[in-house]
Amino acid sequence: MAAAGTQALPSTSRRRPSPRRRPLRTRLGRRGGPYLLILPSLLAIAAVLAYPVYELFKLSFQKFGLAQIIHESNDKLGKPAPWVGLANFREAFKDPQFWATLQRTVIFTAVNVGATLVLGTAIAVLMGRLAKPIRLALTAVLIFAWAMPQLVSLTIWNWMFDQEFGVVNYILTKLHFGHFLHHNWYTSPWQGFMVATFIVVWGAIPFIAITMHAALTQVPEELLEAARVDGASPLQVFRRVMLPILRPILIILTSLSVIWDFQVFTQVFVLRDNRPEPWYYLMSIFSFQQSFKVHDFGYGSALSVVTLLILLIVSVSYIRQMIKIGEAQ
Amino acid sequence: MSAVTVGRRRGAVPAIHSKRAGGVKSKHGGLIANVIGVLVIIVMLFPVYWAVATSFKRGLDMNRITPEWFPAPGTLQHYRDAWNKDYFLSSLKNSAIVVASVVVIAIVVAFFGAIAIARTKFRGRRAYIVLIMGIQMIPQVALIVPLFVLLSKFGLQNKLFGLTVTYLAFVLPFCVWTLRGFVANIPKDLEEAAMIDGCSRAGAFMRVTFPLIAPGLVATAIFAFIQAWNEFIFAYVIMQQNSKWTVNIWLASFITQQQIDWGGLMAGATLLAIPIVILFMFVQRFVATGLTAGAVKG
Amino acid sequence: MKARILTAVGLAAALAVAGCSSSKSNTGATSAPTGSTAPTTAASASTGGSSGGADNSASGTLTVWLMTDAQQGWPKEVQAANDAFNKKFPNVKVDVEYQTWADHLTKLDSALAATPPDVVELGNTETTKYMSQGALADLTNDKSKFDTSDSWLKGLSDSVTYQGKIYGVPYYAGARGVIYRTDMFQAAGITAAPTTLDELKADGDKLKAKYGSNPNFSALYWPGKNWYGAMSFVYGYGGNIATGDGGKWTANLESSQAQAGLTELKSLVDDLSKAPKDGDESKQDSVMAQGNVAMIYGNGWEVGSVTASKDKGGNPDLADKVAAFPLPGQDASKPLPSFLGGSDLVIPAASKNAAWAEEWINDFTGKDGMTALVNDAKVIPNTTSLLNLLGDSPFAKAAQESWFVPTAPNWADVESQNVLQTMLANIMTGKQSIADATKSADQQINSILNKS
Repeated sequence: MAAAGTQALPSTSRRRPSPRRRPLRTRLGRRGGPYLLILPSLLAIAAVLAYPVYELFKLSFQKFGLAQIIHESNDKLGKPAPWVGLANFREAFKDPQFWATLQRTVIFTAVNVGATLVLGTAIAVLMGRLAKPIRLALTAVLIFAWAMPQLVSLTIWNWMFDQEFGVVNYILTKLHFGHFLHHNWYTSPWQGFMVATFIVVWGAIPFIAITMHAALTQVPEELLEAARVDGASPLQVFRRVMLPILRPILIILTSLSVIWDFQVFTQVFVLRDNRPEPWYYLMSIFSFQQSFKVHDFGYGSALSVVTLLILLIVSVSYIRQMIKIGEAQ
Repeated sequence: MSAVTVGRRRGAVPAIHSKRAGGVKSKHGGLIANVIGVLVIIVMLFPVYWAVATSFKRGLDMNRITPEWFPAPGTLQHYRDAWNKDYFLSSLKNSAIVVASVVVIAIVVAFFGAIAIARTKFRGRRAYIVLIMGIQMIPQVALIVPLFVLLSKFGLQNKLFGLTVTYLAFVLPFCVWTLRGFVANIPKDLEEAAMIDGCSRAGAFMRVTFPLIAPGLVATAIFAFIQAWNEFIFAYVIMQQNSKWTVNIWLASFITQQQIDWGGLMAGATLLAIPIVILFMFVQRFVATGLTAGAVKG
Repeated sequence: MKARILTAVGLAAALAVAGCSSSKSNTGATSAPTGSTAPTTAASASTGGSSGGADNSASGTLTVWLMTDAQQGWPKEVQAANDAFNKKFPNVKVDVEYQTWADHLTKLDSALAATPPDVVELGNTETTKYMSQGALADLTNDKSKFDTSDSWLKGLSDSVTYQGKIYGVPYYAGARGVIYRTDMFQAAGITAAPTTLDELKADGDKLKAKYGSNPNFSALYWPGKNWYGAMSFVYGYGGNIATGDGGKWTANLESSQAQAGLTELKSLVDDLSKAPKDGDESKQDSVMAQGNVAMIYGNGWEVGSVTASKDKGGNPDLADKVAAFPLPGQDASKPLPSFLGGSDLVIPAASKNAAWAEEWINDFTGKDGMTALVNDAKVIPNTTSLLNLLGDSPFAKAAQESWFVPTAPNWADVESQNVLQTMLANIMTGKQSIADATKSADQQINSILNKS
């Protein structure tokens, strides 16, 4: 049945649907169909997130601290929250810490997205060239790494880069990369973020590599053969033949990576023993510290709103493309 | 340009094509590629190995300046500790219930949403897509307090149901989006052809469309699974009673002010990883075909 | 029985007043106390008053948040408190929920906005902000209800006192001392524990001479960010972190006394320690168990972790080779003051079960409960009257000579922003001079503490 359908594919593509049996698409498309289909997801998202998102925006225009938190539970306690207009945002834009953090976050995101995609793709290409047992082993390892609870993987990483008992220092020294015993990776923020990048990339590679590998398996072999016969170098094959086919998935993976890496929180937070120094702040950490440590939820919310807006602006073109994809159908 | 077209066609029916470039190409792989492959395996595996090895080490041997590469002499004490630690089984049960509910509901609900944006045109489609994308950009830490307030207004704190709907809201956007790709990839003509051939609409769907979407459903389910299984902070805030812990909170309870019970933590994590790894090995075949089929389209 | 009803009623009144006083600062509603802040037990006590002792039959759930330390370390004592409480209130279910230090305040803030627990354990440096913002129930008038309240350890009772009022009950404390290897001291020819800093240095040099060939050896293992230890030098040399005057706070780390203390510490650390200069003290007991360290400055319970079983990360071979002495000062009569860490139990102002909460707290931290806790877990009790249970422990002595962080409402922000750790890391790694580092720390502390 399925095979027959596939065979028929080229010829039926131009055929008009039979008037009697209208396909799913058109029947649903007529009236409320689409709305019924999106209703459950809209309901679930709205029920859970509408109020918190509203609160997020509201708080960003308020002075909201511990006294206001208590007031939420009981009118007789604490104090109501005063409206402060754009004061939280003005405070952010005047705060050198904000600009430093934003800059740091942007660079960190760029480096992480770049490294993840390059290495993930490289591993995916590599997987296609491995002997079968090694490829299976690599796939299994990727899945192991992916499935490891973050709490545990971060604890382990933190430990591996430990100044005194860190196995990384030991290995680097034994491999004669220099004298790394007692080397502290966090004294210099550059090195500290290098470690963080390493961990983020390690955690993101499985998703990227497995997806890209799957994408590569769908590059028609005949095409590659043809290119090779024509004398193309491997790099040319990759650029001229593979890349055009991989483009759409690369766009999707890039945008998801940007969204995820811009909001990296736990990795750096845990790496710094839950006490990140100001020069280790990323936007998410800055916002968290302001909210839960300083108890300035208004300022913290404003920082989150700014993060959201930046991401939205950055991805406008991406979202446009995404809308178009569907419409092309 | 023609490459793209062919790619689309191929992507359209991933389950049917057996000849794949990636699989066949291994014959071109040389020694160098395989050596690099082994190196990558070592780097990716090392933290996992280190966690498992630690779970067998005696506490004193964990912090050696000269690392102890193999846990010898080892101990099973940490496994006994983890197994006997309070709330292990109840946490496992809670996580299983929540994760299973999230995965099943998210897939069904997201599938509907995906059909809507991939197969139909309607007013508000753009808004829906922007919403789906935008939701993923909201920093989650900013939502902790209001979400808890909301849940407790409805008496849903401490309830598995409360945690389930919370996770649903967070994983649905990604699920809708990924599934959209898979649905869009299935030539609508296929279904129409089936109907012309005498299938009912439901029959056409079950026998033609569904098998083609199945890998996508699996891939999306895995994503939802990992998200829900690994989430910590919302579970910690929402689930207050010890008996309502999920596995991540249980793991965190190995950490006290006085000390981190490294061995117990790693043993607990290893115990928890066993069922997951088995599950993953079982479905990993689908992951590869699944994720791309949807994504390549575009 | 009757007395208990009376106290319950009295407590209701007290809490109503508390609710009122904390809402005094409100801009709006400062209306008369109403039932909503009064504990439910009080209501049931008054309604059931005619039948006599009816409060005992009241039913409900008392929610208690303790840290995982209790779950790991002294679950028996928690159970004993629950049993004692249930003898009086058989129909009240006590729900003890264990929290992790890393995230418990995030969870508490969320709960305070909706449905707070009835008893909460807070670290003694975490309380001030919650007291100052009216988040906690005022227990001033009920202080006498707590068995040992006349002899509470000063370091702890200070941490539950804000502007003359009591907002919590001390739970337990931990003091610090120098934990050392007696066998190494003997081998290096040291016959008695040092009583002055000069002696400490001299002994350290002897240890170095004896064991220095081991590149990992530290005579005194002192991670640079150990700010509790560093501030002992500041206070011991006559300085302090900050002082408050009518709500205005002034940081004093630049003072010559504070700088003298830090200078002394730096020379000690440079000379004797191979610990990370920008690390913290969390792994030091494990380091000591490895055998490369002659002294650490640590908490009393770390003696136990150093000598624990090998599976647990300790080294039982050291069991009779580890002892402790107070961190010496400039002269023998005056050791440096120790930071008194510890925990308090508080009742959120919005708790509806405050009367039960007080009863439970007293069952847990009163004389009987505390005696069991000290005997079992060797923690420093919340009362000086039980310190003798610890014998002549140097830690118990250190608990009496202690310093505490400034009780400014925003103090927790100084800690959470790592101002002092950052300053110390800069000093110890040599990134900044002591003068520069303390100056910039003072600026930050001033701006945090005086932020409205």
